[in-house]
This record gives sequence, structure tokens and C-alpha cells, in this order.
Amino acid sequence: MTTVLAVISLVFVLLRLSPGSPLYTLLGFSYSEEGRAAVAERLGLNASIPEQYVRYLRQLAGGDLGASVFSGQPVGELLAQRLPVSLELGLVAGAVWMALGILAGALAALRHGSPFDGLVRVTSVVALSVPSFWLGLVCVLVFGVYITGVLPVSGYVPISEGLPEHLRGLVLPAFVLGLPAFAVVARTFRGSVLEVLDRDYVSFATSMGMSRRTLLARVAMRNAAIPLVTVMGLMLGMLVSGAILVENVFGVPGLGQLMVDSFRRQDYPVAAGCCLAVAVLYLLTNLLVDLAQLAIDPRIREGVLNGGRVR
Amino acid sequence: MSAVVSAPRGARLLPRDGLTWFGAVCAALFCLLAVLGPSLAGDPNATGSDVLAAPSLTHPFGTDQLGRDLLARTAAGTRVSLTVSLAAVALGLLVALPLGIFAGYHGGRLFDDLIMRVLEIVQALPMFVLAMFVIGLSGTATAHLGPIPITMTTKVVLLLGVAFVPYFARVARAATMAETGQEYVAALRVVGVPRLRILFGELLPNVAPAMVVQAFLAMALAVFAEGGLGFLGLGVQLPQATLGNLTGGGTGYLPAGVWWYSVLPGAVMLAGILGFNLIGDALSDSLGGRGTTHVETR
Repeated sequence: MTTVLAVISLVFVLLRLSPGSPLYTLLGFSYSEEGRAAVAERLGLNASIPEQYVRYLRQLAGGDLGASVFSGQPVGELLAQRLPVSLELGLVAGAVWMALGILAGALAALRHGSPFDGLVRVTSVVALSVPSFWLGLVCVLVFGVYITGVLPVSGYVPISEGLPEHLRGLVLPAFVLGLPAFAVVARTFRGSVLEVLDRDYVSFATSMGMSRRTLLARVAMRNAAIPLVTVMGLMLGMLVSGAILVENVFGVPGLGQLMVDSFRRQDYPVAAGCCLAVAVLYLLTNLLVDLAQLAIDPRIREGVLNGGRVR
Repeated sequence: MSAVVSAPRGARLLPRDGLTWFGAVCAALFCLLAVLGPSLAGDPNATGSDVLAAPSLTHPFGTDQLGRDLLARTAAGTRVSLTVSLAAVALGLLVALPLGIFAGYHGGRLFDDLIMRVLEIVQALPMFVLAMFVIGLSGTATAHLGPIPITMTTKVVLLLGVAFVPYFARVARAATMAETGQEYVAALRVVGVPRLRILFGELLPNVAPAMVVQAFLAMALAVFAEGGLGFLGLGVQLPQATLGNLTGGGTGYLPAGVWWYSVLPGAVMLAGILGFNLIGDALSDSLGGRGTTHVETR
């Protein structure tokens, strides 16, 4: 909660500190002193900064995010349009790629030193390094110029126009967006499985005659999952930054595109609303991560570790 | 993570595996292009009649819509990218190191909590969003802070540098806390060595390896962020070529099959990011500096 308040305040301060003003963009060539005063009055920009801040907080508390300076459309409505698009893209990309990452990481760790292990190591470091917008452009080039007609490279097909078409449109953006998540998950999980397999309790379980399969499924993977969950939570920031760039490349009308547009036009309320949405998403993910850790690790449940993070 | 861990500190300067060599070569080429490229490849802003020409012997990277040589422009962009990234990482280290070392040495709850809170807020707004936010709203023109002009390049450096501070500070704090527990620190205290001397003469060299690892990983991040901002048109502005605005500038010509305009500058960026990441990885394996991301000891 304090984090949300801090983010709101930070956003507010940055908005008001920045030298540009939507007034100029809005009025454009028809700029005149009277026109400026009228618009400033309408947008409430004449009040003192603390007054504006208090009013902004009061509006937020009432669930009112304000309206776009340009279109007059309520910010809440805009977010309701754009957020689901980004969420779907992020969830599809995240789920598929993270699952692949877990699989690749686990297999690489179990075959430590094998060619497959090497392959996973190389793939993940390359995947982590490729700038998403560049990879997106390469995809646009390949599927837009050389291999045409297989996958759409631009635009967004709403689900109302049929599920297959809708999913086909998601393939490329999701592929590009999720790749870094794959890399991080594969690397982390490979590392933590290797570490767990080295522990005394694993040797002990083996010497007690526990079968390899049970050992892996019930002991090793569960312990190795603890750092993984933390890292998956941190991945949200990466997905958000990625979404801004990837949505731009593929012309997906999601939150990222809304954000870039609102920053370019200095549309205060929309920009603030987007940042707020990101911050709330982050907090929700953190909550989910904490709950997942409770579910995985009985030591946290019992409070043995005083609520501290477990290695 | 592998057998390298058991190697004694600093025993080996040359990497043993091929991947790290590859990374070192990538990073070296990136830096060479930045340092020597602009003087060898000619004027990045000289226009020519050969418009949108495919890569050839005279123009190895092809030309753009004004007939400018893209190799020269890529070299100029690489220089911007390297300068901005180095400056941002240096700035971040300069601010974060003293903060982190003091916080780790004193272990004071207040200061500790403050750093953690700031980190939390910064994480709730990803670095890239924050940078875009400030640059998008303050405009891409040169701002003035009193008599000091703040160019776009400075803005990008400041933003990235500031965004690195909490991350660096956290690593420095954790490394210092681990060192403070060692006996030699207590011994130095008993002998009466001044505190600043302990901190910066004795502790700093032991905290440095962890920071070097972070610095390389941050370099990779900075090259990416600078490129991303440039791509969105929110980075260093034209006519100065940057890797980001070259990649972004070519997008309009992609459907016509002009692949070299966007793809080649982006590939140079990839080489830089990959190089710095691989070096950072190799160093963290041999110096053991990574282990603070999810092994939080409070």
C-alpha cells in the first residue's frame, strides 16, 4: 500500500516537474493567452501544486483516474480497453516460455555437462541478450517479406473475429516478448536444481533407498522451485518493458502502446494511469509470489524462518 | 555454478571456455567499432546519390534513404551507445558504492530500510518505464538547469545512472555485510585503524569483485535501454545517429525488403549486449559475485 502511494506521489511529482505542458500540444497553432487560460482553468492547472496533489489523491480514492486531456475519454475506460490485450499477450508469452524454461533448465541440470546442457546455456544467454525490438523487426522481415501469408506481422485481431485468427496474431508478439523470460527461468532453474542435488538431504534420501524418480519429483524439484518463484515474480518488470517495445513493433493496441502515446503527447492523466496500472500489477504479482512460496515451502508456513526469505 | 567455482580468486585471467572467448571477442569488436570506427568509416552525415543501396564493397552496411553510409552511421551510433553506457554505469557506481558500503558496515535499520523501500518503488516502475516517463514528459529538446544545459545525451545518462543506483547499492551492501563479519575487520578496529580507512582501504577491495560483475551486467542493460529509447524516438536525437534510432529509422523500409537498414545496426547492438553479458557471467563464476540476487541475508 505504501508502495502504491509512493508510486502515485512519484508519478505526480515527475509529471508536474517536467517542463513540457499538454497546453501547448493541445492548443498548437491556435495558441493565445485567453485560450491558454481557459484550458488551464478547465484542466485545473491553475491551482497550487499541493492543492492539485490533494485533489488528485481524492479523485483516485473515489476510483476516478481522470480523463485524457486530448480525447476526453476517461482513463479508466482506456485502461479497461488496453490492459486486457497486454495481459493476454503477457500471460500467453509468460506461461508458454516459462514452462519451456523450467523444462529446459531441469533437463540441463540433470544432464549436467552434456551437449544439451551446453545448448541450454548458449541459447539462454543469447535469448537474454537479444534486444526484443530488434528480434521483432527480424520476425517482421522474415514473415512479412520472405515467407508471406503464414503469420500476420502487424495489427491485432480481436477474439470476436474467431479464435484461430486471434491466436495466430499472438504467435509472433508472444514469441518475441517471452524469450527473455525463458532465458532467465532456464538459467535460474538449472542453477538451483544443480545446487539442490548437491545437498546432504538428497544424498541421504538416495542412501535410504528412495527411487530416483520419487527423489526428483518430491524432493529436488520442490526445493529448487523456491528461488525460481522469486525470480518469476521479478520478471514482470522485464515483461512490461518488453511489452512497450514489442507492442510498438507489431502494432498491438495494448497498455505499452497507450503508454508510449501518452508520454509523447504529454497526456498527464493517461500517463499516470498507466504507471499506476503497472505498479498495481507489480504488487499483485508480488503477493502471488509470496502465496506461492507459502504453498511450496512448509518452513515459511510454520514461521520457522521468521518470515525471512529462504535460500 | 560449475567447476570453475573452486578456482582460487584471480588465479586465472584468461577464460577457459569457448563461450566466454566468444563474448570477449564480441565486446572487443563493439568497443573497437566505437573507438576507431568513426575515424575510419568517414562522415556519418555525408549524403550521397546512392540511396537505399544494399550492402556492397563500397558500403559494407548499405546506405539509407539519404544515401548516407550506414557503416559510418553505425560506428557513430556505437560510440554514443558505449559512451552513454559507460557514463551511466560509472555514475551509478559512484553514487551507490559509498551508500551501500556505509549501509552494510553500520547495518543500521533506518538506512537499510530506506534503500530497500526505494528499491521496491523503483522495481514497481521498471527502469525502462521510468526512463521513458521522464524523457517522454520533459521533451527531447535540450533542457536547462539554471545555466547548465542538459542535452539529450546527458538526460539519458542521468536517468540510466540513477536507475542503477538502488541495484548497485543493494549488492554493495550485501557484500559489505558479509565482509564486516570477517575477523580481519574486527582486528583492524581493535588496532585503531580509522573507520574511513577500513571502509575504503580494506573493505572496498573485497567488495569490488561483486561490483565488477554487476558493472558488466549493467553495461549490457544500458546498451539495451539506450537502444530501446532511441528506437522509440525518446533517446539521443537525430541527426546524431544512435544504434536505437538507426534500428527504428529503418522500420518503414522493411516491407520493401530493405533489411540492412534496421538489422545491421541492431546486430551490432546485440553483439555488445551479448559480449558484456557473457563477460559478466564468466566473472561471476570465477569471482563469485552474483550471489546476492536471491540469497538475501537479513
